[in-house]
Amino acid sequence: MNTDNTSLDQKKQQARNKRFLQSPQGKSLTWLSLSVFTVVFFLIMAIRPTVITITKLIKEIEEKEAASLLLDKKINSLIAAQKVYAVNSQRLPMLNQALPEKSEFPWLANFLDGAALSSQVELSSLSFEKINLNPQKSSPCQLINFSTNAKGDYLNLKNFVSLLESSRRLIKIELTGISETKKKGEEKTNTMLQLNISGVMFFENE
Amino acid sequence: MAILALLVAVVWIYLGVFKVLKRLEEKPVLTPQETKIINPQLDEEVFDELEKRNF
Repeated sequence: MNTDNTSLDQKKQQARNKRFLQSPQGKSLTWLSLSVFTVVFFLIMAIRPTVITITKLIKEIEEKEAASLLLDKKINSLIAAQKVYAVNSQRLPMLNQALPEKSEFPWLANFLDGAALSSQVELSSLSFEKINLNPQKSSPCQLINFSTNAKGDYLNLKNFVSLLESSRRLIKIELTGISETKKKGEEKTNTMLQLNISGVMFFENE
Repeated sequence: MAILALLVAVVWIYLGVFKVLKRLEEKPVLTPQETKIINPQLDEEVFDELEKRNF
């Protein structure tokens, strides 16, 4: 009984649908749906790839225009740097003298000796601390610690320190100490001063 | 149903464009190393000072 009612309802529904589709309203709705589906099909198959390509090209053009501007700026700054280099190229060796690539501590020994001679002080000792041959790459430069003792009168010792301070090579004087020494051996004892200097010398970390 | 299909198509186009734009942003045209611009100005006082000193 129930099955008969269900199939009867279905038949009535089908008949109603058929009548609706054959009516003018139904026909126009059918055509509208077909049109919309056609539009959707072409949207997915044709319009979507076109829109994606257009977007990609526009974005690439913008990025490349910005990159071109940056590269132009870089070229201009390189040209300016080249001019500055040309003007100052003869003075560049002074930078190597100030901060050489290697330790060159024999130079320091010679320099201290020469400074002692020209300022008429007597160098009684000179020592260097160890140099690390495998330095850490993070630090921009390496150090050589040195210490020296010089004897002489006050003015000469002052000249000696001035010569160290005015050295073109980068030297940092960390500690100075002056003490009195007495020289016996003559009729009068001469009071001499002893200067202890501890310092640091720099060179480039390759 | 047709309107739903239309909406799905529009959303799909939008997602496609968004994905392309995101992919392009992740890959810049030039690397930071290539875009680095050096400062061409030189402080000549360093040289003047070094010239005064003894070596």
